[in-house]
Parts: sequence; C-alpha cells; structure tokens
Amino acid sequence: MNRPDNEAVRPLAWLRRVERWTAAGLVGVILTLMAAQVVARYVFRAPIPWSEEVACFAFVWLAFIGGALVAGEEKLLTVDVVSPLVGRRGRLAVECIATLAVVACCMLMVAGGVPFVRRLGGIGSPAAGIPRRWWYLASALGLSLIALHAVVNAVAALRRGSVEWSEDDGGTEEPEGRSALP
Amino acid sequence: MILACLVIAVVVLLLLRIPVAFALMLPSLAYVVLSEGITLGIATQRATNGLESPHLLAIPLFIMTGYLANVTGIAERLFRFLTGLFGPVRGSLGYVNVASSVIFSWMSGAAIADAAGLGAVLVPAMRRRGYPESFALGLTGASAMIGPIMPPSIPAIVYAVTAGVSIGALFAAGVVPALLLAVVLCIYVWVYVRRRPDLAPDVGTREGFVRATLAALPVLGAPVIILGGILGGVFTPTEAAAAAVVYTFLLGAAYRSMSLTGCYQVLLGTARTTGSIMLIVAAASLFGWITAREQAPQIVAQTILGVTDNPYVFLLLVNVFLLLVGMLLEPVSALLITVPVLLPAAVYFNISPLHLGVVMILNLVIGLLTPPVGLVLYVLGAVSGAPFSRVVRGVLPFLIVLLITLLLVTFVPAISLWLPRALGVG
Repeated sequence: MNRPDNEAVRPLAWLRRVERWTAAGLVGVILTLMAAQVVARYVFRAPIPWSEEVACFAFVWLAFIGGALVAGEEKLLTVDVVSPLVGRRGRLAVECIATLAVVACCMLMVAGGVPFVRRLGGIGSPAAGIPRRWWYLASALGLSLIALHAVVNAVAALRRGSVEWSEDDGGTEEPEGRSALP
Repeated sequence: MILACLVIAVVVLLLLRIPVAFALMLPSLAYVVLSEGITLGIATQRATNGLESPHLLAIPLFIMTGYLANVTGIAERLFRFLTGLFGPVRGSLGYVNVASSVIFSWMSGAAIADAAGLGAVLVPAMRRRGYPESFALGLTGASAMIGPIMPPSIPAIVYAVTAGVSIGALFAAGVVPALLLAVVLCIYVWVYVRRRPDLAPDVGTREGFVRATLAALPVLGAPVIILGGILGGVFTPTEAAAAAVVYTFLLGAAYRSMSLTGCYQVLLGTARTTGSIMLIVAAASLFGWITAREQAPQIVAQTILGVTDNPYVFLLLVNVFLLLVGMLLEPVSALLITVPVLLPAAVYFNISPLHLGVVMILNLVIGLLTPPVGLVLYVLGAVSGAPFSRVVRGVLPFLIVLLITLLLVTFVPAISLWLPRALGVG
C-alpha cells in the first residue's frame, strides 16, 4: 500500500516544508560551527569558545524539530507486532490510541514546560549567554508540532478509513525515516 | 512495585504501536504527576538536558558521513576496487561483500546505512554472478553488523555518554571485535564456496584493477581522519566527525557526484534520522532519571546477585536478556534504558565498562537482523526488491555466525580490551 504520492495535497504541507528547511538548516549550522572550530583550533590556533555551545543549542532544536518532521511523515520509530494481528478497523483503533497517547504526552510536557520556562527567565548559558528559556522552548514547540501532526494524521486516516503503516510495504519500499539508524 | 508498573506500562505501550519515545514518556509523566514534591517542569528539564552533551554532536555528523558516502558513490568505487583485489579467489564476491563492509564501516556508524549503501550494489551483483539470493542477502545483512561495532559507531557514542566512559577508548575497544566478526564471516564464506564449485573466480584486467585502485584510494583518507584522529588523540570524536564530513564532501565534489539537490537531501536525511533518534534520547533521559530515583540499578544488581555470583553467568544472562530486548527495540533506545541498570552490576562483577559496552552493542545490533523489528531486514528488502520472508530466510544461518562471535567477545574480554590497553586509553 502506497502513501499519498502528492506531498502538496497532504494536510499541513506548508508546515512540513518549513520543518524540512529548518531541520536541514540546523544540521548545516551544526556542521559549519564544528568545522569552523576544527579550523580555528588546528589552523589558526585560536579556538572559538562559544562554537560548541551554540552547536549544542542547534542540536537540541534539531532533536525536537527533526522529531516533529518525522512525526509529520508518520515515521516515528515504533515496535510493530500488531499489524499482522489486526484488520483495517483494528488498525484504525490502534492509530487512535497511539494518537491519544502522543497528544496526552505532548500536552503534559508543554503544560509543565511553559511555567518552568517562564520561571527560569533569562539565565544565560556559560559561553554564548543563550537564555535557558530558549533551550527549553525547543521541547515546547517541537512537542506542540508533534501533537498537531498526530491529530491531523489521525483525522486523515479516519476520513480515508484506513491506516498506512510503512511495514505494509513488506520490504518492497525503503522505510525512509529509518534509513540511517544505527 | 512502582518500577514493575513503569516497565510493564512501557512494554504494553510499545506493543500497542505507540512510538518508542512516547511509550517511554507517558509512564514517566504519569509518575511525575502522581509523585509528591516534583513538578512537571522537571520532565522538560530532564528531557532537554539529556540532549545537551557536546559528545552527542558527533551523532548527526557521523550520520551525515554515512549519507554522503552513499550519495557520492563510494560504495561502487569500493566494490570495483575490491572485486579486482579478490577477483582470482573462488567465491570472490563473498569476500568482497565482507571487505566492503569493513572499509565502509570506517566512515559510517550505522548498520542501516551500510546495508542500504552496500546492499544496493552487492546483492544485485552477486545475483548476476550466480550466487543464491538468500546467501547474498544474509551475508550483506550480517556484514552490515560490522558498521555499528567498528568506530565510528553511533551506539558506542550513546553507550559512552550514558556510562560515562571515554568515547575514544570505546571506539578502540570495538576495532578487534569488528575485525573478528569479519574473519568469522570470511570463514563462513570459505566453507560455503567449497560446496559450490560453480562460483568461479572473476579475473579482470590489470589496467582495470589499477584504475579502480586509484579511484578508491582517496576513500581510505576518511578512516585515517576518523580512526587516526580520535585514537591518535588529535581530534575529539565530534571534531573528527566534522572533519570526516568535510573530507567526504570534498571527495564527492572531486568525483563530481554532488549536486545542490544532493546536498539538501543529505542534510534532510541527517535531520530525519537525528530527529528519530534524539526524540528517544530525550524521552529515555527522563525515564532513566525516574528509574534511578526509584533505585532500579541497585534493585537489579541485588536481584542478579541473588541468582549468581559468577561473572560469566552474569554475562550469559545479560546476553539472553539483551538479545530479547534487541528483538523489540533498536540499539540506541535499548542502550539508553539498559546501560544505567546493568552497568552497576557489571562493575560489582569487576567487568570492564568497555568490555560490557562492546558486548551490549553487539547483542543489540543482532536485533537489527531479527523479526519483528529487524530494521536491516526491511532495508535489505527495500534495496534488493526481495520479499521480507525471503530476506529473513537468507539471514537465519548468519545469525549462528553472529552468535558465535558474540560468545567469543563475551567470554574473551581481551578481544575488546587489548587495543585500548595497548593504546593506553583503556
């Protein structure tokens, strides 16, 4: 069973585009900073004191925005033992339960995280002085996006009346989201 | 009691096909909500702080090296060079398969990247030369296991960060076990081709071999940067990873196999894979904090000590346990959950954390080749076009080879510890 081919007709296509460019950009930032650090340290003998910290900051954002991107593409890592055991309706039920669990998690994290972020205020990181609230904001924003994708994808599945899981392909199509996992 | 409830909840949620990150997060959040004296803010703090280790920065960079190696056609160049090298030997493509994995593993830390990159080249080539498909699939899958054991290894970085050991030392500890696996696989190939006289040698021209060698020679620069840089103490693992990405990128530019679209695809693929893994790392950080708060490591250690006081029996139990865990969870998630629990017991038995690390990683990567969640099985099916059931049948005999290697690595600690000690890092 194939996924919808035309990315543009999928719900929230614009948001996925923004997530793709942001996540790819964050990888580029991490690479640039770490390569610059190598050059500064070994070529100019003048290490950049803040490069690693800013790269860590970009990495935290990459984790959550990348997570949202993968969630939007319905490729979050799962343990699939149920697909051979349930039919079409069973899959819809499993998908609904999973969506509820994901949304509950995200909402609890965001609800707990926002007051925490506010309370921390503007305490800065040691080298670059990035306020802690900007670090924690990544999880609040990323998890909100994941909840949004989970709901939109579940509604789309209910409207279609079927769920598309990558294991349906039975090995004939590469599971892209898993393509370089260790 | 609380711990048992947490573990059961995670297992039930995983079986209900809830994404791994959220199967870990939901029981953790329930624990935080129901506990007195802690607020939900701690969940945000623990999940985010778990990602802030500078060592973890090496992960997206090594993932990117693997993607670049695939995009720049390094797999094909290695294949042509090694085919020329092993050509005169009977069953040469079997040895080419293993040797390609060894060289590719110096650039990539992920079994799935190896299986995707090399599988796409080797499985069709072996089929064309008359090798049975099941043998080609099984050997490609098994030799892809060299990738996450040989440095750079993403599971090794995760283990080192979680266990608080040196990444360089753990990288050094993985070299000999990875080479041992390659040797054991070569022995299997040798035994196999003895029964197949039809798998004739494949002798090419001397000019062709020289051309292929010159084309593949620059590829060997990446391992020099990564292995030489880290083990020689020149680079930190993160710096080595950045240098390897730049080198592989320049290689792609020199081979004229990089385009702007290709660059974007590499960045995007890296972002996707990093997002998948790191969301789990964030959730596992929270889960790990809770299990530590509930004194899980102490409880597990006491329980194991109640069963045995023999370190070999302990290691055997660890193997059985991790092989079962590896059948369900991919290695990074499994390491994040099990390392904090098993390490204190291992320390009690005087087992080196480096030795335990190699044993745990080897155990868990074998799970990548076992259903129901054998990710490498899916990738092999995808790149070869073979049905899933045929891939599983092909891989089955090689699981025995992998288990033999696992037992050797488990019960002969010197296999893991000799090199770090020789280099003065272990």
